[in-house]
Amino acid sequence: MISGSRFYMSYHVAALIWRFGIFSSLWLIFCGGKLDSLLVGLPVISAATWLHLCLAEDKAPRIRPLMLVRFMPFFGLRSLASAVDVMMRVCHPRLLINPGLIEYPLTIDHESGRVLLANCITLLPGTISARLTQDVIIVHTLDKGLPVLAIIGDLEARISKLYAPRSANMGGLS
Amino acid sequence: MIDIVGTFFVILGIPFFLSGTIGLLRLPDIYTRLHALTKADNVGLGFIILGLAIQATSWFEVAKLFLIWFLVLLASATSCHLVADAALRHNIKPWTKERA
Repeated sequence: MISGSRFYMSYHVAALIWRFGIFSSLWLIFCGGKLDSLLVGLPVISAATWLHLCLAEDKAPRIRPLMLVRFMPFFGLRSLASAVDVMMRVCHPRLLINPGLIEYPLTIDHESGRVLLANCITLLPGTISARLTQDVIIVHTLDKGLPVLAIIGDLEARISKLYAPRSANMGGLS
Repeated sequence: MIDIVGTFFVILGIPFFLSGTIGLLRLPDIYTRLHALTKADNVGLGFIILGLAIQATSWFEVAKLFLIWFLVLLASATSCHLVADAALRHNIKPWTKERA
């Protein structure tokens, strides 16, 4: 805990700037980039930033933007593959499915990562997430012959890498 | 040229939507139907958005289109999960090959 209060301050200023930037971009996208719309926009953006800071979970781990950029092509290609996979199965005259439920023990220890994992599982080939608890995720698969546990294990490892390690982020708070 | 490429991607999206609907009609239970609906439709929408983005007249339009796609992805993955979760809670047994 190196100079706790200063760390705390700088974290909050950074959080404020990030959120303000994101909400401003969203506003400009909605308004087609018309700068005079900021007359109404600035108060709204400020209110949204303030509200988000109030509602945000303090313990939520930080996402590393660069890792997120690296994750996107993987995600895009996998979801394309999953759509083609579904297409082949449902259009086949004999309906190539062998569905079932599979339980996967989670190792990610924060809510944000678990929810992201569940959502990604749903968009992956052959699997949807059916129930999410603290330490288990129940997955429905279209084909029990797929190495579902290995596929999710790989995905979980990729998602863990998206988050900054615990010690590097909210250490100054608790 | 740009119009042709754009139209190509929009048309490419159609078979995905179609296969989502075929899946909805042919698959045996709620869980398997969710597979067809979420995956196929997300990618179908993706291609249509891509096709429209290529033909867009400003970068803000492109950003808005991709924002729409992102929100639909998020909403459909979440609602798929919630429907499957609700089905499990109501003890709806998944269809299996062995029991068919």
